[in-house]
Amino acid sequence: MKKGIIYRLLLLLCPHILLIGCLPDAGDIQGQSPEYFSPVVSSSLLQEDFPQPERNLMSKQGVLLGKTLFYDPALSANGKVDCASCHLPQLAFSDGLGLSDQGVSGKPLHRHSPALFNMAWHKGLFWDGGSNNLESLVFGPLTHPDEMAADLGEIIHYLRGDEKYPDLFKAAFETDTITSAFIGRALAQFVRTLISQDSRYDQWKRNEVLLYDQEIQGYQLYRQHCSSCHEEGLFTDLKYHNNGLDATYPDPHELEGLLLGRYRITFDDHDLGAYKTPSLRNIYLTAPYMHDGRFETLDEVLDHYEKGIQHNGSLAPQLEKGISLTNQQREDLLAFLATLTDYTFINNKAYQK
Amino acid sequence: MKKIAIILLTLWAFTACNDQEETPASIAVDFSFSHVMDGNPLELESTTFTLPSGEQFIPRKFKYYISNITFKNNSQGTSYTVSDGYFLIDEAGKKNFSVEVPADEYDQLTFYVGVDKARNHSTDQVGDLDPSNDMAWNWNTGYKFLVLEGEWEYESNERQGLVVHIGNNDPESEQNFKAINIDLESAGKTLGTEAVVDLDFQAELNELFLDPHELVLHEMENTSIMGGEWAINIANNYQEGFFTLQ
Repeated sequence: MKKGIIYRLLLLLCPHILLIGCLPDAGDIQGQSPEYFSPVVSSSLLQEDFPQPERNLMSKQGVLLGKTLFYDPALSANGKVDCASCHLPQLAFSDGLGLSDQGVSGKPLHRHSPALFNMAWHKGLFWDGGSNNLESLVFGPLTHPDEMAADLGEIIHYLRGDEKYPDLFKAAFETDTITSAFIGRALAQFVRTLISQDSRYDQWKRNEVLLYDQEIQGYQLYRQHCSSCHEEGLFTDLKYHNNGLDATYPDPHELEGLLLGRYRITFDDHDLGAYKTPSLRNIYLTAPYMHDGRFETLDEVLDHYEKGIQHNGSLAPQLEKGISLTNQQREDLLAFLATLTDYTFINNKAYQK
Repeated sequence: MKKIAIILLTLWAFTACNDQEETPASIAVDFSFSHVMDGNPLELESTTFTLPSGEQFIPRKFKYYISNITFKNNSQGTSYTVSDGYFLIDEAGKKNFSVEVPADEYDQLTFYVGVDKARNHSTDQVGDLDPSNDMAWNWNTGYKFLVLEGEWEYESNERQGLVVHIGNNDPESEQNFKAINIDLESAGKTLGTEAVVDLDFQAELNELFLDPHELVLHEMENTSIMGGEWAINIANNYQEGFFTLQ
């Protein structure tokens, strides 16, 4: 309620609501105070407002700083890895790899890089929801030895000594002191602007285009078989489910419970082997699939739901009997899923380097 | 009449003045922490210590958070909690801090090792909770409450790493977030009349490995302790008998 009022106020205060397509260049922003904004949200996302934490409201300047940091490999220990190394715009900010080995150490990670879009609505980050907000999340990939392996102290030293960053921080946060908290906040602001809401599905929902009959057939099948977890709008319920990938979960000590799913965070038996429902939006761009990228294709995923479900005490009840589709139904469903690909999003220059 | 008034006034002024001297408006409490192993000063990287269970041990890193400091005056039933006081004590860095508390005759002190759930909920913070202090988890939102790292060796076997990272207040807020209760009165440190008070604590690292849970490294499957039962055991160990007020 309180948040809603603030956004409405913000909208009133902004003389023109900013569309995300028009972010300023570094030269334009000096000497101005942060220009706060809230992005326009498509009705097809089925969201009432755009959530932002009060301590880190989005500004043009903050987003520009966040974007600059996102594409800066100097933040990594070897100067070669930036956030975009595992979050490529053309793949809806995923990386096309099962378990990436693109980090500083070259060792494969234990989880598949998630796609980044519509993150503002996610209440828990990472596959198990370990991180509570984007501002806190960014320190994970920044400092993990197999990802960017950054020493935050060294990053701050670099940013303070750089020719452009002190001005960018000043413009974004009206501060002369660069701290790790502001790095986290700027990156979070940029990531919140990554909104995918202009696929053919969205245009259809806004009555701008028509879908083909097959796609509409597929939509009905989606409603029947998938929407209880992949809720329409964001196409995820933002919750955690055990979707029957494994019957048992090993717990080698050195992995700190990494293979236990969300149980690692909640210590609740119902969360054993449970991972966050990924969005079906842009699903054609975000292969391979699952938290460990074990399935290369959507056909493998559908095979799993049809005949691969492993039963145990924490299995999502919706999957007890699996999901059976005829060949025709499978084609129809896949045709619908293709309407969720958002080319406007992946080609948006405002998101790119 | 006038004379009496002057005398009274003088007396009043004198008393008032005395009052001010006896009860300062606030007390600056200087906390300092020193660390020993088996009674010998802790030294990182250079010295080999012997753990209670017999392993040789070279410590490399030792740090922890102190927070939620509360002073109590039991006879008056009053207390004061230092707001937003989160202090990182680091053997390789700062080992002291100072807090300002309103004057009172405090006889009890409580502080916690770790970070309360409300603050641990977000790592997007400054001060000693700045994630650049190398105490934030990278897969979970929150901080490590206590970190001890080093290398150990037992009976001419190969050296192995000891990694103790403790810090979790889910699902129960008290799991690793431990209150340390200090009886100031029995330590002869009752606060009240002085404007500056030094509280010097000594922490005996052997206590992390003993009582109530004995930690025998060479009998453990893995000496990387970042959660689970052993993290809780060690947290229980540092709650009792770890800190002493000198």
